[in-house]
Amino acid sequence: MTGFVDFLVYLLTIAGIWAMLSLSLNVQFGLAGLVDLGHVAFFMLGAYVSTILVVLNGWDITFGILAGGGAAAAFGVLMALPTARLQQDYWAISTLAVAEILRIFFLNTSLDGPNVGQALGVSGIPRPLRDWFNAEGYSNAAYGWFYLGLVMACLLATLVFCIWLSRTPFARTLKALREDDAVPLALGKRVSFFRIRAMAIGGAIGGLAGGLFAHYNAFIEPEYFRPIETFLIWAMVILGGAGNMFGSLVGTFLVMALYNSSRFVPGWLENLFGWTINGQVYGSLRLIVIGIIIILVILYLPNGLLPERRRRSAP
Amino acid sequence: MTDALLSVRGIEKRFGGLVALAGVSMEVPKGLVYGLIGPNGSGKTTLFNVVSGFMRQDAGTVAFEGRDIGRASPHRVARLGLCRTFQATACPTRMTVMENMLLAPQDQLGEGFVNLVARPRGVSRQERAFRARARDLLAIVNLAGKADEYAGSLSGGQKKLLALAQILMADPKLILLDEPVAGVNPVLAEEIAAVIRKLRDEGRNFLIVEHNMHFIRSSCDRISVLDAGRIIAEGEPAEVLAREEVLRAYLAGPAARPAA
Amino acid sequence: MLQVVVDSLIRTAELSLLAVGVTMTYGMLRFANFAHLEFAAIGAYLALALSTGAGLPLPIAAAIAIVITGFFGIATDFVIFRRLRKAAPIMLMIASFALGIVLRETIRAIWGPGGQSYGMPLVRWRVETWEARPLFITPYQVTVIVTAIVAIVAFYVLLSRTRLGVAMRGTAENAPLAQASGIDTNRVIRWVWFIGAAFAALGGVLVGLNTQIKPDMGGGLIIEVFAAAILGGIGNPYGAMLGALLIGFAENVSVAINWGPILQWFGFDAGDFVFIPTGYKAASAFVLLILALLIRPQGLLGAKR
Repeated sequence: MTGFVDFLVYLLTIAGIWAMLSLSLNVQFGLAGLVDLGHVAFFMLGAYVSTILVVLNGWDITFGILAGGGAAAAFGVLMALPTARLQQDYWAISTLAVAEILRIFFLNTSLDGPNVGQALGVSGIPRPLRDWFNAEGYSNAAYGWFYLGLVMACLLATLVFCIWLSRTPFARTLKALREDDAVPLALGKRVSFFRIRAMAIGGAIGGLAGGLFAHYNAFIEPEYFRPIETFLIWAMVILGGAGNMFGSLVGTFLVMALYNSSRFVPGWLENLFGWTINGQVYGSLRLIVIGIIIILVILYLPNGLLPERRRRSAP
Repeated sequence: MTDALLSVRGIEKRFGGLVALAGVSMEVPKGLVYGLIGPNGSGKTTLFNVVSGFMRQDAGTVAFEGRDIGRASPHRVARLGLCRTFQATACPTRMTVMENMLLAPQDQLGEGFVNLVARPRGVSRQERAFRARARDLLAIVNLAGKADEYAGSLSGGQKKLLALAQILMADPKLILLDEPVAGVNPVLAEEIAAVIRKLRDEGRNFLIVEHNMHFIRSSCDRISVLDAGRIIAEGEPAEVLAREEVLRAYLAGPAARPAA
Repeated sequence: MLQVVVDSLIRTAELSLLAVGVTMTYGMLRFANFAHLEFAAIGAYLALALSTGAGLPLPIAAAIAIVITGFFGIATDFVIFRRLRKAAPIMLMIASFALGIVLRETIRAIWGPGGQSYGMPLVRWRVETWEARPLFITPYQVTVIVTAIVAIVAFYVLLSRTRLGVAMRGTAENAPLAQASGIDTNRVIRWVWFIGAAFAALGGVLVGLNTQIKPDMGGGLIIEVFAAAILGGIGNPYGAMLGALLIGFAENVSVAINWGPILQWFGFDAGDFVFIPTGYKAASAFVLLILALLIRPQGLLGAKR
């Protein structure tokens, strides 16, 4: 049973990190209508920048993670720059390409030192306070609980920030950009500046999530950051409801539950019905189910499970 | 420069081989409701687009309060105090009427992070003031009861009213209205005309494109007639609308005119 | 250098067959169909099942597979996209992304993740040319290029010489007007799906013939194909082919040439021999896409909107 609890702690930690990712996409897409199909780039950049600074340059982990968030925010600014010139769907496709370029870059770049980089990834990434936990004689499980708490604290802070953000006049102007630029432009809004800031905020949160992931997993490789990961983040936001921050949490929970069900469901099926299902096939099956759910949600529930709340004007 | 609020000189605009504006010059003085009429395809909306910065002219200049805005971007033009509405593009539909109104004011403290963090009180004080003004304006256009409805759920006429109220909320010096009463019932159209006259008396300036001649007569002080990319007449509405060349332009329609 | 040209032409042939459907769907329905690439994999696997599985000769198996995939294209429109005609293009795009994953993973679940082949004998011709190194070419590579040229000529004839082609161009240009002048736009849209999916299936079979049949053989090309379609001006089938040519050559040439002298000519001295690692081959297409979007957002043959 302890194995099961440890696994749940692990799963919740990972889910918390993904919840931050889906919140960050919800800022970009839900609030500002930016179809960022390369969202995993922020996660990747946060993870790699923090890893490189901490492992190779000996930075403190906290500063490494913060720098990862900063780098991802700067990358968001870069990605937002062409929005002024490009049609929405062209821009979306180019974000997909940008994330892949970044992944190919890390796939082909060897890092110095004991950690090779490239396709083999980087291993031995230090974990915060790990030595202290060891020195005090705490178990691995205790450390798992500690990191879960850390991630949950970060998630809570992100959630509070995103909800606060979505109620500001800034977000109100962002929402006006979701449909057409003409009216906001005619009202004197610098639309590109608003988009740049939305991309930077979403990027920063995504980058922080990447840093938290790298220093938890202690190992990263380019394979972790494929376009399919971006799709999962999108599934969370669409399922939960774009524009609703709590929706992102619900969406993350459901998608993560489905995605990780491969560790339980085949065993249950075997125990209950005597069905044996190939792990490989189940791996595909869970993605098929998630894909079909997304299509059904778009067809029949376009606002998601928790639609965006209508803002009532206070009397 | 003259004391004209808006001064347009020799504007030309071509789309491929099609000449939309063939040297348009006009002046909109202060203190008037100025009408711009003309048959379909005569270039009215193109002229609006050029003046408001949404399109770039091939030749000619645009000056607003003596300042050259011929090459300015739309948001710059708007910030200088020249705001427009659109014929077809509606206000954001997935925002409530009140949110649409609060969107309009320029230089909101709450649009910048420094102020959001450093001066939260200032932000909320400003929000309260905007909200009060939005309520007043919505009352003028009879939308007070709809404040919490999504703009997308309004009728066509109500959307026009919201666009008008929204533009007033932005508090511009010159308001460009593109077909403010198209698809609006006559009673409501007369109410809109009355609102515009009242606002003119309070010192606002309007430039209006409209097909509804009744509305033009009852609300405009002065009009220009655009036909095939040229101004063909200018003056008091009643007098201009009686002129023969104006009638001919309207009756002939685009097909009868030489290739334009 | 000839080897590079041959490789580039093969790539061009494959990419143009895939990009034509993407660009036609976009021209007609105004959305980027990310699931389109999966039609290639479906066609390739169906042909595999019919040939090595059911024992049909490969050309016949391929023909049947292509027709089935064409109808499958119509079916995806019928089940999903037709219901979203009034939705925002972005929603269609995301739905197609999801559909693409559903299709790819279904293939993976049925046929497994590993690469497969049509089991054609390994033949490689050695061609002596004026270059020092001989040129190696397989009959399958010749088949790829010839088939693609035939298909594209057939497509040109269809578009320019038939009533359907005129109706297709008319609908892409202005759907309401086409409908008003008596064109059955729904029928035209069905044909666009059929032709687009069938072309992709043909492309898939050819890729499989030349290299390997893998579940991600279509989805893995997504950015290259969209780059080709956008480079040429999306909505324009001939532009898509031109785009495919540019991408095909850019990918192969960028990693084949020595950039040292070129950089020196521009004033950067990075040594006499500078080669881009082949790992970056795919990135060159993406970089070209982004540069093209920044410099000429409407595409090479696209009209300014």
